Amino acid sequence: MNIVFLMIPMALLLGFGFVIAFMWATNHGQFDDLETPAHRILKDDNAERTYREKSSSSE
Amino acid sequence: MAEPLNSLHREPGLCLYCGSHTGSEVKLFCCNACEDIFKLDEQISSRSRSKNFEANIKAFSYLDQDAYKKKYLLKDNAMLFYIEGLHCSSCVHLLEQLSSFDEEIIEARVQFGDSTLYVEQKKRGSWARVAATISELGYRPSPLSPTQDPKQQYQIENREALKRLAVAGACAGNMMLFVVPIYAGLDGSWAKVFNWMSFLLFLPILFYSAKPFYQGAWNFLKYQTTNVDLPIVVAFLSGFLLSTYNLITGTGPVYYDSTASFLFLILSSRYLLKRVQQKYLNTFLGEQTVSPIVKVGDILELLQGQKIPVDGKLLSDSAEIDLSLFNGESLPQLFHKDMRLLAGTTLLSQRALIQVEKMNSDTRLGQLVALLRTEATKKARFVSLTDRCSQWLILTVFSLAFGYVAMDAAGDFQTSMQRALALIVVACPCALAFGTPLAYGLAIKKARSLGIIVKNSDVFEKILRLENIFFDKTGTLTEGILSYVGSDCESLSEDERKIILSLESISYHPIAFALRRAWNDVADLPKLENHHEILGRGVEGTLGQDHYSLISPQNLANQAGLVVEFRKNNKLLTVLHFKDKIRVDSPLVVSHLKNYNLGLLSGDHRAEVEQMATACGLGPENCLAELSPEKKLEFVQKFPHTCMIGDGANDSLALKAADVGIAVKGSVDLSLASADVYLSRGGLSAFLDLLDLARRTRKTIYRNLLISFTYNTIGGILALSGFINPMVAAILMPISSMLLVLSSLGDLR
Repeated sequence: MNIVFLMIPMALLLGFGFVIAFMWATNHGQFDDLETPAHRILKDDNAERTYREKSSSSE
Repeated sequence: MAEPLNSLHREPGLCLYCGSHTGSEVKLFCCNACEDIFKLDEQISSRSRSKNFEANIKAFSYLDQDAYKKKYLLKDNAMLFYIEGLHCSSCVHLLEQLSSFDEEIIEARVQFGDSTLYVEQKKRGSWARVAATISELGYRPSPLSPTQDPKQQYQIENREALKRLAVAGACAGNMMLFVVPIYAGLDGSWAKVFNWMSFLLFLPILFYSAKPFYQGAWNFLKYQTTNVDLPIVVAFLSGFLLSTYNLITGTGPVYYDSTASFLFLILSSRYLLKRVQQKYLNTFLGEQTVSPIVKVGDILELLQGQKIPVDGKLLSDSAEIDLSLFNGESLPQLFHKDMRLLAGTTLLSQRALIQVEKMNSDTRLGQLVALLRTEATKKARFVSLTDRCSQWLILTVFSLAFGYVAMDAAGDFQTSMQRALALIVVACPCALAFGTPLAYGLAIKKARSLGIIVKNSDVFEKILRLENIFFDKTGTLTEGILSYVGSDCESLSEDERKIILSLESISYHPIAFALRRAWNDVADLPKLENHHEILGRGVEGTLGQDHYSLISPQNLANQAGLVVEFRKNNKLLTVLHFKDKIRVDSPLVVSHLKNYNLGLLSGDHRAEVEQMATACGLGPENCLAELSPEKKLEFVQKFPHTCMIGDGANDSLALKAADVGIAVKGSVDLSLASADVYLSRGGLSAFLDLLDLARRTRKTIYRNLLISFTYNTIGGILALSGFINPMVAAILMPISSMLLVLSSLGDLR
């Protein structure tokens, strides 16, 4: 049963680590707009621009 | 600007679009799909500037004035625009490519839910250019100052709610892990440790997550406003106190886990409802401010199509003004020198000079907006079904609990107290606190998919109690757009049409638009000489030897509808008729609403209004014509349980005063700020859908109440007879919640 002394703090630590991560993400606006990213991902970047960026980085 | 296709420095053998190997040095693309998409992109980004572009830049030139920049510029040389006409993911794609249209632009990002576009550009970039480019793409940009950002208004509130929800969820979840061994039969000192762990985990919920409920409950007591927060807080706190007492004395059951999960469920359903309600609601609408450098007495030069920003005196000889914001009339009015122009109206003639007399909140528009905000038009306090039920619930539960303890029904005081408190905990207002917001949230979502934007969930209850429904005429029962009906002579020859169209080509008059719509297949317009507008009358010009004019007749007195005369060398050729068409579904909707007391309120002339009413199936006795906005307001206030359906600023007071105010498509910003519902779908059939949806929502809510009533009765009996223990509570609670979710989803999905 002694292992519980280790398990419970660890479980709590893990759990609250995630709560803190969630809080951080909320404060940094990760959940402010849940809609636009879904639209954005449907379209490719402008091909020409991607091409240019690619070619300029390879130069 | 994008470079033309052939000047691209291309790596030979790689596809221009996707960059994969084409198999040949000369082939530009790997497949047809890539070629098509590339050309499409090319076409979009190299779209030639229309001739309006320079004019647009001039119209937006105020954006580059320092005073404006100071007010609207965000940090990093960025500006936020509200974009009218943002529809779908293609719009997002197009607008976010803004940087490929203008080299000064660094970044453009769309916030789809709020219809805003964030644009960042280099230091020397011109904002007029940016705005002109956006309107070139077919959207209407209006700059938002940082304080008007819809995001800002909700951001703090939303983030806070989400954090409270997260804490409640994490704590409730962990708590459940600790009670599982206890339910499984664990006893002794370990059980005590686990219970204390639950207690510790309960504290963040008690002091952080539940805070909004304390506020609500306090309002309940302080302002006598009924809400469901008080029963929630009572159940929540008695659950906590009872459990803690039992934990310390080591006797009796502990309810932390079910109390915590109960609160978590309520928080999540409220969050859902709030997010759904906030969407598309921009409260900045109706606010009009002028550049801070403008002072009373200044002279402004306005261009065709611009909104007049101030109340002022006209200095030009004459000007044609679209007054539809104020009187809903589709016809423009002619103003002469020294007449007063009103803010919010639109200039239709080429240009005008205006001397500023009143600005911002002093203008007629400003006063109207101010009136909208005052108590004068405040709606009667509405006590929702939920609120009434929660009063009833509190009364019943408390009298039962007190009665139980007073009668000492369990034999000894200690046990009676325990059971009475258990009753209060178990009889939590689950259906009210959790089922109802869920049902309303789903209903609002459903409404949105039908093209109906509902501002507030109260609407679903209020709309079912309606007795009187009032319509506005222009734009509500009718299309609100002039359309060409026909001419006096049999048919106009192709040449005559060409002449008429080229005459109208310089005009922004609604008649010109109506003709262009009706004859959109006519091309190759002849070029006219001496071509100009006769203000307030029409247009004229010469072709070869002949002088043509399109002129409205002098006496309009007993004309229903609207006509213009087509003259050649001042001799009447024919008369063209125009009409504001009735919406196709108006008579149908009116016939569906026979059980209500219907009325037509309009600012237009009596004869026209009555004609329209008869065509829709309304008796002329139900019509009120030539009403000012204030008169409409008075009229609506005279009746109980009213609904006003209309648009235009002339309805905004009435929309606000009515129990349910509904703004229809095409309405101006102002009516949206005052209405409860906005129909984004053309026509009134959406109103019938809304009624139907409201009925279904009520059915769902009644069923939810029935479920929770059954549950509460069973739970209450078990509690009072001493059969309830934490395990039974922990099982009963999710089952009832699950039933509520299923019941709501089944009906409203």
